[in-house]
Order: sequence, then C-alpha cells, then structure tokens
Amino acid sequence: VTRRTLGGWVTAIAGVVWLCAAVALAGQGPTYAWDLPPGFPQPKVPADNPMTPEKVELGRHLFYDTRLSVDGTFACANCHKQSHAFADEKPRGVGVTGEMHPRGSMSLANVAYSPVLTWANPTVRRLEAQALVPMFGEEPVELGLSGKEALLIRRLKDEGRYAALFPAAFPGEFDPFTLANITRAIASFERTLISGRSPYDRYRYGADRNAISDAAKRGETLFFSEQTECFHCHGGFNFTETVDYAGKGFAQVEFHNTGLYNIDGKGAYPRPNTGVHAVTEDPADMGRFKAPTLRNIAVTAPYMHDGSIATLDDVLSHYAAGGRTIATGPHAGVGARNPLKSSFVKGFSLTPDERRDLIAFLESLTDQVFLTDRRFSDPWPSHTSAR
Amino acid sequence: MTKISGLFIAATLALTGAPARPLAQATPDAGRQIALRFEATVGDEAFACGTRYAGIGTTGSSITVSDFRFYVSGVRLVKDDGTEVPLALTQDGLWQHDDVALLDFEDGTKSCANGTPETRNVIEGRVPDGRYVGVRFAVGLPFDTNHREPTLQPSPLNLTSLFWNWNAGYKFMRIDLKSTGQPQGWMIHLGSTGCTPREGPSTVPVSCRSDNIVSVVLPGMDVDRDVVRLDLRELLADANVDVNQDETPIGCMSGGGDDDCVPLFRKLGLAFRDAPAGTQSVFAARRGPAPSAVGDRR
Repeated sequence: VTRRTLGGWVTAIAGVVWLCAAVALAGQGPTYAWDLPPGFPQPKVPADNPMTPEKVELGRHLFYDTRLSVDGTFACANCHKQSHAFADEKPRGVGVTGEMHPRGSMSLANVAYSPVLTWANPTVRRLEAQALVPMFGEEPVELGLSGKEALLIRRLKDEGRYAALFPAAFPGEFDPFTLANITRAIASFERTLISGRSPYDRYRYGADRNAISDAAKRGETLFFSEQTECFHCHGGFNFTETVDYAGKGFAQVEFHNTGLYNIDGKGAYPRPNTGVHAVTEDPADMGRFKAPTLRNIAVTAPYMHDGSIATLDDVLSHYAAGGRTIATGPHAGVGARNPLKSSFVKGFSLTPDERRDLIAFLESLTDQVFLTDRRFSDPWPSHTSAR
Repeated sequence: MTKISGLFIAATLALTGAPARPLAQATPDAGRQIALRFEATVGDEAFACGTRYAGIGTTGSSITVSDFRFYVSGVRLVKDDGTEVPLALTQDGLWQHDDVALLDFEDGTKSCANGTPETRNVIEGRVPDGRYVGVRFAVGLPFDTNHREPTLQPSPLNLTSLFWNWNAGYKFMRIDLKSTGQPQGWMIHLGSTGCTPREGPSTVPVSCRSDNIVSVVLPGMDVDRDVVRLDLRELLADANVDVNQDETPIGCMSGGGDDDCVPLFRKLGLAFRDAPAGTQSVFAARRGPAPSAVGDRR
C-alpha cells in the first residue's frame, strides 16, 4: 500500500467517524438527567460538549487525579475541596512548586450557572477553557503541566480505569486521550456541582417554615433591604447577579469595585490583583471583581479575592463602612473613598443583633447535602489512588 | 450543517495530518523552493542550552537560557522590482501550519530540560521564480489564529508551553532566562495583552490594546545565502535582568504595567504605553557563504 493510498483510507475512515458524530449531535441523543433542586433552571451547556453520565464520571476521576500535576502531588481537588464547597481554606492558593497564587480558590458550587469564570477575567467564558489555566499556567504555576502534555497523556493511558472511562465518555473516537477531551470531561463534572438544598432553600422553596431560625429569617429581610443593599450584587437564586442558564436570553456579567483598597487615592488596587484591569488594561476596570455566589459562604473563609478578610463578621464591617480602611503599610488607603467603587457599597449601620441575624442568614445557605454528596466525592480507592 | 461540514473537514485534515491548504500551494513544479534560515546568537556566539553568557544587559549579568522559541507568520519575499510575494509555507504537519511557522532553538537538554528535543531553524516554502532581494515577516500570530480554542489546533499551535490561556491567546515568543541576580528565573513572554472579551459564551476577544506583533523588515537580504539572526544580547542590551520590578510578573510578560518590558519592547520596535513603535534591532540578516558553497538549494 502506498503512503498516499493509506492516507486516503485514513481520511475516509475519519470521515465516517465524523459523519456519525455529526448525526449524533444533530439528533441530540438522550437528555441529561440533571437532578436539579426545586426551582433551579437548567444549566446552559456548550453545543460542542453535551452532558453525558460517562463524561461526568470521567471528569470526576480527572478532577481528583494527581496525575494532573507535574510531580503527581496535586489534583484540581487539592484547592477545590468538597468540604469547603469546592473552595479552599487557604487565603490564596498554593501550587505544586509552592508558589502562591495572587488570589484564593473560588467555590465551584453552581459554577455551571456562571457565564464568566474566575475572579476577574472577562475573557474566560467556558469551563473547558478555564481548566487550561491551572493546568498550564506559569504566572503563577499551579499544576505545572506547561510543556508536559505528552507526559500527562501517557500517564492517563497507563491507568487501567481510564482504558474504560475515556472510550465510554467519547465513543467512536480513534484516540479519545486528548487535551480537548480532558477539559470537556472536567467541565462536565464541574457542571454537576449544583448546590440548592440548604436550610434556606427548604424554608424558602420547600415550605418548611422551621428549616431556619428566626434570627436567619430576620437576617433574610436585612439582606434583601435597601438598608444593606446586599442583594443588588448577590441577588437571584444563586446569590450573584453574574448568572446564565438555558433559555435566559441575556447572560449577565457584572464586575464590581467594592472599595476594598484605594492605595493612591485614585482607586488603585495593589498589583497584581487589579481585577478586570489586569486583563483588559482599561483604567475604568481597576478593582472590578466578580461577586461570588453566597451559597455555602460560611464554609469558604477567608473572604475576598485575596483572602484578606478572615470572617463573615469582618466582611460585614467592610461593607458597613462602605469600604475598608487600611491605616498603615504599602496598601494603606481609605477604600470608602475609592472613586471607582460601586454605588451600592454605600455603607450602613447594624446593631449587634442585626449583625448576628445577617450572619445567621448567611449560615443558612450552607448545603450539607452538597458538602457530603458521594457523587461529587473522590472516586479513587485510597490505596490505589494516584493521590 | 455548514458548521458541521467545516468541522468535519478540519477534523479530518487534523486526523490525517494532510495539508490544510493543498490547493492553495504552488504546484511542485512551479516556482522555487525557499529555505529561509534562522540562527539564534548571543552577540557573535551561537546560542546553546546550558551555556552561560556573561556581560548581559545594563548590569553585565551572567545568564543561562531555559527556553527559546517563537512563532513567525506573514513571511514575504521582496522582488528586485520592489513588489512582495508571500512565501507559501510547506504544510509539514509539524513546524508549519497555514501561514504560521514555529522556530525552536531549545533542544530539551541541560538548562532547557522542560523543552522539546526537536529544534527548528528554518522556514520552508515556495515562491514564484524570480530574483528576491529582501525579506519581511512578523513575529507573532495573526489575530484570528491567536484567539482560537488551543486544544483543537494542529501542530505547531498545540504546544502547551506556548499556550497563554490567561490572556486568551498564545505566547508569540518565549525566552526564559536565569540570571546572576534572578536565579529563580527572568522570563520574556511576548504576546497580545489588554484584551477585551466578545459578548456571549465565546472565549475569543474582540480586540487587544497591544497586539505586540513584531514587524521585521530585512532589505538587501539574499534569501539563498543569508541567515536571519536573532541576537539575544542585543534584545537584552538595555535591560536589567538582575532585578524584577515589584509586584509584576517575573521578567517581562508583556503587560502594560510591567516596566521590565520597556527596554525589550524598544529593541523589538514595539510600542509600550506612551512610547511609540520604532524599528526593531534584534533580528538582522547575516551574510552567509556564497551559494555555491551551500550546495544545491535550487
């Protein structure tokens, strides 16, 4: 067989494979069973990565697999822990080389509903693309895989479980062990991380009047009041206005400067955490960050993009003051006078009781079902795990 | 359906490694084959992984290099009548794709252990017959190529070392150093910055404030005889590689607030903040031996 003829056959076979894939796409296949909490809309899923249980299961294995770091010590799950709603207890993430990330790991709870990923990067719109940042990023190094893609693929091919999981997730592909498929599977798993069964949900949507305390009920009223203005940025079923879902029409993407810093009197945040500005270099984007979901917020301390506020009580103090004042040091400045600050961060006063009520409300958003759901847990047997 | 057909064709070509634009190329018998040769030097010394180079930059630092790769696109040859013709790149399924070529001077050894064993110092393609007296090209990627989904691209656009996902693009050039004062590393990552997103679920930016594409014009270059030289000593001549500006990425990563880039961008002819674009001085044509000594280059 000449090389040209062989090439022709390969082309023809590839063509058949792709035609089948095209037919499968056009035919939509079986609808994915989401198991959504009451009242939750269906997540929006990219057309080129439809949900399947097989992809989710592969993604779960990859999410917890330390083969996804250069030295085999870290997985996605090291900085996104189920017990912390897939956030981290550290103020800022630490990667395989010990380098500290400028920002803290965000909770992945309900990330399927987020039309923009990470704290402040408006160009990262898909979980498939976001996964490449921790894997291959070098500023900072997180999983440290830059230039190691061949090693990664070889390691995955050597694992017996993947010999079944990859072909099941990507049927009909001659070689499903690709970078694109790794990110598709991880993204599919992440889209299943849906949290909506907190005591507050049982109270508000499940008609269980006793699911939360009276203090939490009073806190709810405060939260949704013009007194505190919390709900303007943290409204909606996911307690963030930056949200999208199937059939929504308009994806909402909001970034806010909350007056956390003001180091030059003109609104500057300390580098490299200048928010959206760090990506767009637009001066108007200085200090603009995404408002994270408040679901499970009680288990994701410390707070803010840089973990610079330790407790929910201190977070309330920051917003009550209409911005944080730092008296001394290189970050000194009066955040309340940040000229780029959101107009909703205007300050308010709370009595000690009101403060306790608001915190009780925030604590009622902790979803123990989510934090312990075995479907989201480490699938590797501890004695054979790569971890 | 059109989308699926396009995907099908692209995927099939990617799977088979077949040329992406077989019909757009000059037929094998027409025109002539060109091998545009490159070399990487530190002053007059040839670059090699593991070698220590002294007297670098404003502090006379000593450096070793751990990565040395860059993309070239838009190669044009200048005819003796002043007109330009594009070099139709050989679609080799590895180093060259469409209008883009990767040049790679690290060999994965010694200080370059994180690189690839394969190296590349030539761009191959065809042009119509004629006499050519100059070359121009860009260091960088065309905008559309730069902002595609990288995991689905063919070689040489599938190297994760050159991914730059945080900026929704690629590193156009990466030259990583270790210096006397910065033994942990001092990196040069050139790429487009200040990118603003498109609305909707796309990861493709609408525009970038600074495309940071280097324009190289080498008039009077004899493409059959001369070699394009990239002189790292010249690139670093006005830089202080022994320090890093506080609270900025290590070395120069092309950001508008990263003052470590100022002396490098000037040498590359790139605008930086208020400094206007100029003429690059890092790439130059070096006179090679007479064509007869090179052998049959057609």
